[in-house]
Amino acid sequence: MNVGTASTLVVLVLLFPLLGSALNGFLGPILGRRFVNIVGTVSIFSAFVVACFVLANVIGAPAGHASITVRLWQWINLGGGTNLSVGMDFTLDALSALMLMVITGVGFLIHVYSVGYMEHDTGIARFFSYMNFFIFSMLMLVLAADLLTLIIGWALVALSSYLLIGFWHDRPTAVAAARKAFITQVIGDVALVIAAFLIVLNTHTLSLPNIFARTQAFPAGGALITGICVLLAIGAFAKSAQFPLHTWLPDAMEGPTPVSALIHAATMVTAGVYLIARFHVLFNLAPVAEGMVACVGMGTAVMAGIIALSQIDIKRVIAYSTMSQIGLMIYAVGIGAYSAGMFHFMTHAIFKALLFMAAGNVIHALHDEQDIRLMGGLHARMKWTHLAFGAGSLALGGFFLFSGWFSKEDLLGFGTVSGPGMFPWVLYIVGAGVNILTGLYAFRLYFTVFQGEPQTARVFAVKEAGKAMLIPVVILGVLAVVVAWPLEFPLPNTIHVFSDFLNPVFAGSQSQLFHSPDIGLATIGLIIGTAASLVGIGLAARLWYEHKPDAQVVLAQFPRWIPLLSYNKFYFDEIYDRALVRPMKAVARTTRRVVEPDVMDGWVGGVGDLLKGFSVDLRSIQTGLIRDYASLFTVFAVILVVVWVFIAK
Amino acid sequence: MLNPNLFPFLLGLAAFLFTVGAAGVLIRRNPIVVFMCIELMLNAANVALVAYGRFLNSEEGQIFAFMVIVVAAAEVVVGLALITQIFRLGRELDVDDLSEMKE
Repeated sequence: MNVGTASTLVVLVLLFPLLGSALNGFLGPILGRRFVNIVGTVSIFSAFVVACFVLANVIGAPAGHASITVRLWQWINLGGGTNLSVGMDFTLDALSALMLMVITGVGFLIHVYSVGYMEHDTGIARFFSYMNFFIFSMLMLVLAADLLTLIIGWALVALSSYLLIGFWHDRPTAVAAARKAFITQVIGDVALVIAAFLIVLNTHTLSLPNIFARTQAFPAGGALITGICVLLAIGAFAKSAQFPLHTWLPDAMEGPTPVSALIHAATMVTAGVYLIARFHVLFNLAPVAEGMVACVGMGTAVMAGIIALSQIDIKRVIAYSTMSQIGLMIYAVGIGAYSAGMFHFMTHAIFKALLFMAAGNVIHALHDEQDIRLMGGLHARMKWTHLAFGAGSLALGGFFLFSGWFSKEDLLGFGTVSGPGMFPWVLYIVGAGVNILTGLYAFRLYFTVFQGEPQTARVFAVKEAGKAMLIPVVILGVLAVVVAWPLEFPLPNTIHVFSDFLNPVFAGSQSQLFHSPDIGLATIGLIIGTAASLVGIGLAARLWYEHKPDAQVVLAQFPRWIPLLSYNKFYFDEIYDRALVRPMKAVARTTRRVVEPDVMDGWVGGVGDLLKGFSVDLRSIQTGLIRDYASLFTVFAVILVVVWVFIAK
Repeated sequence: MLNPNLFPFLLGLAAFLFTVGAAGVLIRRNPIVVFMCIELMLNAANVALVAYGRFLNSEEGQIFAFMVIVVAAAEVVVGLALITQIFRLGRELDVDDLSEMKE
């Protein structure tokens, strides 16, 4: 791939969604629904075609030349001693090609689905304009070869997410959720920007390849590099909804379901994983930060899994499962299993988008009902949706030979061989626990919604979704089963097409380790992980399908605070409310009551009062009597003459 | 050539006339008298101007005095017209009474 081809591909892949967004935004309201539907989907499909060319070029490139950075134009040139030059730089390599494929591929299917889902919504032009704009921002984020460009993409995806969560802006809950998501993202943005400042200060460049080439500026394991990596990780946590910045993701489900599928499951929330993978050179220098990332990821995976067990809103269950799965990805990039983490990102994007869209079909069929206690028995009435949702659940639950099994076992198995000491093993055991949890919550949802007896009369009137909503779901359903087969097998020295493709990007980091010959250890890990998933799925089947024993009976054996903790999402919203929101509001109230009237109004009003008093005094001179004026005039004329003649000389 | 010793007396005359005029403006309430006093002050200035012109050997003093006379004439025209109009309104001719413009 030469520079010319690369620039053309970059420009095209960015241009199509941007053009789509502009056309939909400006002409959509005039030209109507058909125009918007066509422009919205075709623009993303064109981007997908370009992404395929990118992938072909990256695969076809000779070894060692698969990564190319192009500069579209120079943006800022400070010259002089700093020599700091910022350009619109974009990188095409295996990592960005993978991201391009997932974003545009899954994105296209979700756009098609939106055509059906938003059929009766009047804001369709605005919707597709935002959606296309999101794809553009996300592509900019993953292509960026420059910190500044990356931050722009990073902030623009947060903006699109904000716009789309609050898409139904006449719902106060949606607006509040949008605001919450945006504010949380900004916390991450600030951390990212500070990290960028520290990097520029020490490497004197903003270009990512140059930064990675100048790591000698950072002593390995030193406080500086650890600080930078922790800040980068905070940015990633905010974007990827990891503890403690995770509370926005469940609320983001206020947006339309295609938005949840595209932004809050498949693409944007995995940007944090991408960020850490992209900055793996820096993270490899900071083992402490890596350890923190791994622990936070695994911790979030456990926490979100526990919460998902007791939620009753169908979309929130999937949202918490997303949080949990992204926790696993974050854990993977934390322990250095970059390829495995990105592999789970890919399979997760497929089966999670599938689950969301199938859930969207259910919600649509039940006329916006989201409470799973009112569903049940849908399998007979929504055959295709049911099949696809089942495939997605099996993939999510890590059932043997479904795509999720490959990627999850891949990244968990990596933990068993990833480092010295007991620490990786402890995390591995926790990971097996997450497998049990995943099986449990995935199939609790599946059995409650699709199996058993219908819980309301409405279920009997349900009809299968229309073609536009069904075809993308079925395509993703097939992919969720087969996508991993030719790509990767979670044992050393077997099929590793995917990691062989990605590993050149992570050359020099630990991710080569998975080719280590310790096949015995990896096999034990694989068996434990698979068994854990099966245990979870089996338990879910007993509790929520056969009702032997009934879930309520089992629950009663736990102390009461455990289910309460899960149901109330570990009280994070309440804690943040007490610890942050209320003190801030109290400060604001005090300021309004004390500081504003006494301090601010005090001096502002004081100046006014002073001038007013002065003018009242001065006004008494104006008597209206000519003789008074004449006297004053004379007196001052005399004074002037006296001063002039006698004193000024 | 005028005796230079006369100069202080001429300036003294101008000062005297000016003071009388100013005092009249300040004291009297009849607008016509006030006008006459203003004329007096202007003529005091004329005397001073002409005297300076003479003693400094320059024509500018006299030229300037003519200008003052023209301005004074114009002023009288406007002023007397105003006074006549006020008189026609049936108002008493008293400057202290004419203070509506204060508001």
